[in-house]
Amino acid sequence: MSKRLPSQNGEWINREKPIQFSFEGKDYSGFEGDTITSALWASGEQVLGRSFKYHRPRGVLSFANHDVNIMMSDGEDTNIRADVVPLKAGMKLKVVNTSGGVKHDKKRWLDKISAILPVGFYYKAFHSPRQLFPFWENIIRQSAGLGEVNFHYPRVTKNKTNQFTDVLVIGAGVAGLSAAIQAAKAGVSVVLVDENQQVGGSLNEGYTGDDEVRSTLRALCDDLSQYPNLTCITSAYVAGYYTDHYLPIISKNGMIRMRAKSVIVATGAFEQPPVFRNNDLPAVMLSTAAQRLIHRYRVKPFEKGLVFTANQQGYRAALDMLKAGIELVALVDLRKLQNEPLADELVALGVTIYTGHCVYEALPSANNFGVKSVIVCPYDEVNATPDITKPTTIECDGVAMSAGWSPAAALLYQAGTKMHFDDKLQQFVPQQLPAGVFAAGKVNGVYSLEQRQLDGERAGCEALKYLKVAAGEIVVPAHAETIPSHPYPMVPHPKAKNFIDFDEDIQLKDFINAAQEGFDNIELMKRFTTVGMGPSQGKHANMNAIRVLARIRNLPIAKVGSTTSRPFYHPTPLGHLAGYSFQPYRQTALHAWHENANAEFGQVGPWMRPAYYKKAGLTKQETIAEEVLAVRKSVGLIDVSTLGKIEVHGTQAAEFLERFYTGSFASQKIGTTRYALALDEAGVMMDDGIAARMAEDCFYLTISTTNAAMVYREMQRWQQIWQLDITLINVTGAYAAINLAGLASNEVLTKLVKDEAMIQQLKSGDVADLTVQEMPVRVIRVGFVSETAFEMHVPVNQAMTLWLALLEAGKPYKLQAFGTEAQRILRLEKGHALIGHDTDGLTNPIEADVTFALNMQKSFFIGQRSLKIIQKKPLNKKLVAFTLSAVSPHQAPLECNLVIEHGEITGRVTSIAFSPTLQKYIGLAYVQPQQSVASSTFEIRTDSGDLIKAVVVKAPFVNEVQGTV
Amino acid sequence: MNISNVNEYLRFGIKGSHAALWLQQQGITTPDSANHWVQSSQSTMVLRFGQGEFLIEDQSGGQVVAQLLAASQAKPLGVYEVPRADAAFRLSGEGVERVLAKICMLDITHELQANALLMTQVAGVSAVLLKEGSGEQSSYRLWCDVSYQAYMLNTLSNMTSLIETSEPN
Repeated sequence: MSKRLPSQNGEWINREKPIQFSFEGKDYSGFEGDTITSALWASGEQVLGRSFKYHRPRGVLSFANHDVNIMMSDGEDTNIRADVVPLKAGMKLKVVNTSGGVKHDKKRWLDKISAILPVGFYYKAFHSPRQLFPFWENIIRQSAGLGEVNFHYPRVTKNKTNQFTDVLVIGAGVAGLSAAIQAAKAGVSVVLVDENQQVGGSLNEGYTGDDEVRSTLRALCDDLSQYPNLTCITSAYVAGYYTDHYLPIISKNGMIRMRAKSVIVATGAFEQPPVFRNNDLPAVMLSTAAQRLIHRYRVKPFEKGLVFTANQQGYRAALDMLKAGIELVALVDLRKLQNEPLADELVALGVTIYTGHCVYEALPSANNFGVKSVIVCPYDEVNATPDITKPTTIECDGVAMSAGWSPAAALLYQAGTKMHFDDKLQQFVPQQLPAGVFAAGKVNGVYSLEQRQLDGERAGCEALKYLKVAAGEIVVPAHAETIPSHPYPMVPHPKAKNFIDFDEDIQLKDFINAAQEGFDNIELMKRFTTVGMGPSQGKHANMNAIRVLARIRNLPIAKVGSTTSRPFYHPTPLGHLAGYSFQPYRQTALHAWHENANAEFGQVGPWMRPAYYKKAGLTKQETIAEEVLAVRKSVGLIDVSTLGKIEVHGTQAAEFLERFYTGSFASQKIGTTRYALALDEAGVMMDDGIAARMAEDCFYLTISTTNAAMVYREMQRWQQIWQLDITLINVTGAYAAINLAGLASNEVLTKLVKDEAMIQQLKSGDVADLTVQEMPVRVIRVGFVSETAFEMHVPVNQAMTLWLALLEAGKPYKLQAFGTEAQRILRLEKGHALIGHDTDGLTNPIEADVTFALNMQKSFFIGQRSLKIIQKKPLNKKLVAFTLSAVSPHQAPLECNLVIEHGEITGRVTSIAFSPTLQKYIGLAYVQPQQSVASSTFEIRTDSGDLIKAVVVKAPFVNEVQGTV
Repeated sequence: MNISNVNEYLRFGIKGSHAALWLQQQGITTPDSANHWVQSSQSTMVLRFGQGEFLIEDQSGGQVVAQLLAASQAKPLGVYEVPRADAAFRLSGEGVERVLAKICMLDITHELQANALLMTQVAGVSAVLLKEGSGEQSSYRLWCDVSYQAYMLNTLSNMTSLIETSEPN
């Protein structure tokens, strides 16, 4: 049976383009422009979903994405909001959250036992006996959720883009359109966003029988197209407000991150349902939903309807229904004394109006698939009580309901707007708006058509003035019509099923029970009842919940307040948030060589570094061990270009280092290096490296790879404070660095320099600018991985030449390139701790046993004051070197395994590795100070629970003297 | 969008309290204020990053960088050479602003007017961005550390493909 109405100007469907689709295995057709729901409703289907908890049949409620009665899957996407998703040819749709189809859902029995499943029952019912909890948990988890996640969902990268505008107008109803046009007239850039497919908001369906409305919409749309500086984005919603007018706009294809200079919120209001028994039956819908069906899609909401209202909106919807040819059996108005101007018009058209009455309950047709009739009773507004001694049963097949409005103010709340409850409007309205944010229309408490238009123009002018553009002064008269929202549209019923939150099947009695349980604060009540926590996020439920709580506690609504609104205010697919992301990576100048040499890369900070070089026939561990032994027995080569490198120039360069690092630098000789340890102000170890003095007024610093950017940033920050005569130059990317390490490194390097004596003269810790293979190279004699090692720094464009020359010169010594895995073992063999690996965000130098790097006699260094305090306190832990004896690989502890003493945790392992040189496990661990003496023992608990004995030793584990290990 | 790699242009970086004065003594026209650039001669750009920090880039045929490198060997007081190793790109074509809107969070059409330059994050990497020319002849220049070259080129190419294949928001 088709419910499609005759064609009308302004309808959103294209009748010349029919669309075929299937729903629950049956074929249907609709038109281009239809939503899934409108096509199905036009085809006579009104059971389009099942409720979340009790699996009750559901149909249209808001028809505006303010509820989730109708959620579908097309086999690929799940939880499709059928009310607003356009119909597409070939769709094969099924309702989510059913077992056996929407009409024969096997879980409908849950509705029969709903009395024993009130809110919060699972909080109390299943926690004991404890052994049974997994059983109940399994059942609850199977029942929870709506659609099923599609694990084969295709990866579609959503667009993310940044845009900017002078004025962002959110909502393209009459207020938003007027505001946007007003701003655009002044020449500023304007972006207008609306969640609907077409602009106009309620002008598209409210009062549509009225020519004034139609001409207003046409005039505004004509105006809109005149301004090239005005961009209109439809089918998109603004999901949140972030500081400085930064707002994400979500559309089907992705996200626009909009930075606006000013924001006009003209988001309108959500219609709110009256609460009566069976107000969730299919064909009981909000009055605006009925209007949308009629005017946008030309579909009859029902044949023989009744309007249950408490405001003027119900009267307007009644007139629209009559004009669409729907039989209107009655209009029931909760208010006893009313002076609605449209009432006479309705009476003249033969409609019976019951004032001071309520719909006590809707009686269902077979299987609860629709409405058979309603019972109407007199209603005491003061006590919110129906007089059930005088019932009237009225036959009908549908109910349009309207009890009032809730402002769509989520973005205003998120922006920090102070709202207050206006008793004359029965609505929260903005009291104090943040700078640059403006409200217009229903969200601002303005309801009549003329006033909303004027209010939009006023907001446009105010935004212009905020942008320092000349604009007029517009005053909007106060609201003079009847109150748009009823203060308490609740009809109690002993058998309940009078729903407040349709998402979660929450009934009036659930709130009363929650309050009796002590959850009588709005935030607590929300969490206990879960009102507003479903996919609708309270759009159709929160205001009624607040009214119920206010009545229970006998408080004014202003005192009850509202729950916190957080972005995103509307559920958004994770794909939109994920989109594409930027994960920058850096490659050294030797990257191509590493690739050709079969490097297995790992990311260290942003850098791609060879972890090791794969070799045929060898396992990873064997390969790494071979690289380690090459250094220990002869010579190895590693690309350390990733080290941070900073030049400090200026007459106060030494003074800067004295302040920034813990050691002494003023007395440092030119041509030498010193260990440089940096702390934060709390005395926590931040980084360590080498400071090479190249001239009286020039130091060359190396920083660890992962900390390079942070250290440079900190140096710049401190220089801003200290204002010393220095210049910092970050040369990290400009210089490559290569470390030639091992007993034979001296001989390899000697082959490449003109003056061999220069190499022989370089002592540990020396630095010199030498000529290697005709290239100027800065050579630092460092002992991080080997006592005999040379770190060579060259401009990046010369790195490959130097690297290849070293490889060639090293051939007689079986020189081998090694990666970061071998480097870690080599440094551990030398007993060096790595900051960030062997320390954490709380470790100080005393605990890490690097007090040799502290010059506490200096007048100042960063963190010194904190260290002085720390020194006075007992030491809690100390980093020690340890070895394990006779431990097989599967028994060996891992990093982060705990040190246990008498069953208590006393420390943890920070580094552990099997030393190919020593053929045993070695490591570093934090232990209690009394356990730190050499030869002490402690126990490490492994992942398997075994306790492994470790012996404290004095580092380094490996010492290279006179050409031997 | 067309992406040209122009790493081969010669560059000279300089920093220090006397850097501006020294450049002027070498006959180089410098921008009056930080975060601006000028075309010092037909083939030389001068970018000013701060009160005392500059990048001079010779494009095809430019001779200025070589002169400055020679002059800087005298190590004048308060002037320090900044070794440069840049990945440098020229971006042009009608899609360039759409691509940049995806990878840069600043309003480039507004911020890059009147020879302004931006030191900002582009695709998560510290970069310098400016606009050359005007109208259909305009193009954007982008500099970042050379170690990011592969990443930046890959990202720019991916974003170009994305705007060509996907519907606009």
